[in-house]
Amino acid sequence: MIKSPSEMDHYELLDVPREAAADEVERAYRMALATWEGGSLATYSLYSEREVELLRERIEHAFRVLSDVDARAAYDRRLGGGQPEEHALPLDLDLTFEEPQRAELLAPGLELQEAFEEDGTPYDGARLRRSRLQRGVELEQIARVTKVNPTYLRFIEDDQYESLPAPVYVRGFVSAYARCLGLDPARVVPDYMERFETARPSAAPSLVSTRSSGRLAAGRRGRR
Amino acid sequence: MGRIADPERALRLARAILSDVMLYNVEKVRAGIEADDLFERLREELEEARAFFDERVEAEVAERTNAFGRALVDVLVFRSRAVRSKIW
Repeated sequence: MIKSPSEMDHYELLDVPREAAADEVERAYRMALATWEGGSLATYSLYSEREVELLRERIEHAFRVLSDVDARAAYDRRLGGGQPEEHALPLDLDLTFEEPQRAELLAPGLELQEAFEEDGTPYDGARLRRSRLQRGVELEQIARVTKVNPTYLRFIEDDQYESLPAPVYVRGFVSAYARCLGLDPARVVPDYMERFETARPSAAPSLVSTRSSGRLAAGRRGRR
Repeated sequence: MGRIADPERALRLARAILSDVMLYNVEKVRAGIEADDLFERLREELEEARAFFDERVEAEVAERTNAFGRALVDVLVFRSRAVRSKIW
């Protein structure tokens, strides 16, 4: 079960382990900021601007604490003692997906009536890619509509979970991707996130990855 | 899901498939344009792309519209026009 940002501690929010070194924390912080940067955010389709602003402030606060040796030690003591987390800012983002599909989030040229498909298989990266190609939608088009970095979209399609940012962001990316293709996020997101959470190593994410085959055939790509 | 019979959709599918070929083979495409052996260099990828396209489009539409061939030029060649080549 994915926690909402309001339930996460600072480590979870930045997606770093408790023992993460300073440079690891900084890298994760920069990645989180880039993910939520104004104008490059997929999840504007999910969150209000105010919610995004609060989340960015929350990320800033987490970084300030974890990058300060004394503040981090005190914070770790509080976490170790099981004391309730003291978030500097109120944040209670609703990560459920109850919004109806909206035509304006569809890729250009795609109509809702041609967008539905039912083949019963779980939504992994390969199936998402097949769904995209069947609709004749280029990855760049999805990037333009959703404002998700195309590199992340490729990682999603390749099931390169370790190259993706924290689950809370990936959830938003996958939801935006699904909406863009006219798929139901309530079906796509749980499928994808279940695989993501099962496969995702505990190590901090990296943007560098060399695994990418780009094969078209089902079942030949992104498999472990 | 039935095969695509609409020429516009067929062309869109071809463009999407070939856009992926380009996306996943940026260096090969560049080298192929520069050396004027693009189709030889990408033979395997293009055969796979063509098979994927043919599986999803009515044969008569594919042949009549030459959607795959048009997309090949539009996507792989035209989008690589910035690459220096003896072709242009």
